[in-house]
Amino acid sequence: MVISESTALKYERLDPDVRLMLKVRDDDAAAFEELMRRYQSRLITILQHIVGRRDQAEDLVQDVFLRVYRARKRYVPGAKFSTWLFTIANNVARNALRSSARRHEINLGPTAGNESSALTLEQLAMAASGQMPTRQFDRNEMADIVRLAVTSLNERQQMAVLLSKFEEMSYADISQVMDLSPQAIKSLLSRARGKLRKILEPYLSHQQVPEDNQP
Amino acid sequence: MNDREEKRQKKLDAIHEEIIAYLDGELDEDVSQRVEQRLAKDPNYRRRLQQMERAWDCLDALPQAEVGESFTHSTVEMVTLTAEKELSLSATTHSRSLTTWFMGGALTLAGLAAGFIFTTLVTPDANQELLRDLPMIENIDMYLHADNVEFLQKLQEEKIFM
Repeated sequence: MVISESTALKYERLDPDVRLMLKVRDDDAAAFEELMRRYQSRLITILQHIVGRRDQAEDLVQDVFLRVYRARKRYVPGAKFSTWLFTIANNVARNALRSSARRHEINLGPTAGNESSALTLEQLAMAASGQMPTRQFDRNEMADIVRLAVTSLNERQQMAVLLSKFEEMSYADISQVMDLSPQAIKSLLSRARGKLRKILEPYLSHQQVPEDNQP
Repeated sequence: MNDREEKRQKKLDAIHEEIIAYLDGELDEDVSQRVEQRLAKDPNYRRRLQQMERAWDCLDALPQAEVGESFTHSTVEMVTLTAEKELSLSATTHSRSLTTWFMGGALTLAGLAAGFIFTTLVTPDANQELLRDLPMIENIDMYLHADNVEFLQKLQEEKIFM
């Protein structure tokens, strides 16, 4: 895609991270480190939910930054820096999921690894159908329930939901990251959030989200 | 699903999309106002929106990653190492490509030399022929006075004019 000079100037003026990236283009190592500090946790958060494991998410984030470094000389600002960065992250995540599928690896969900979950998707489904005794859930259990609910979404729905929730991205930005139209993102998010509501509603009827988690 | 049910489902999906887009601040001002008017009047619509909002707020319970300085340093180290490797690889490739160029050049020169020698040895040289025939060319006028070659050969054998 050819980016016009006026577009590049607009993003350079509006987005301080674009200005940092332009310094990276000129081989400024400190600017690269600063961008990493600003984005590494945010990227790990999203990718950990997508691939299900913290160590794998960290490897993927390193891969994302390596790609940023390699692409620096060709960088021309055609979007917000975060949009450009999460586009790379989305591609990296999709490649990783495809490789995992090829290796016939079973995604054990976000609780795989060191953590262990008290709930399974079956239990979640039981609760959603009203067969599980309702009770109060503590904060960790609620986090497990929400995590499992998110893993029940497909890959695209998960990415759209996480970008909307954690990055507060607009439909237009998400559509750029995921290479879909804004209308497709609108429908994708609507279906994803409908599914989340369906799964979480039985818990919400008997649950108050702990105060320190209230927005 | 029959046509009627399908239409109903489509209508519900559209309402659902509208509510989500409203919550996300993605609607135009006039559409937003229409949603707000409906929220004020329609308790079912309002309940639906509240359910969606509550489920969305639940996602705040998801843990967010915290990363220490060690991760930053290890990433910078990894990127630096990879960059160095790529640089040395590109230098090696460059030197290999120079060697290839030199070898190519030498082979071309050798080919040209071989071609020259072959041409020189195999192809008859017009100048050489002229040199060989020079004595005859020099005396051509004299030879033209003789009627035949045999008579001239006889004179040469008897060495009368030497």
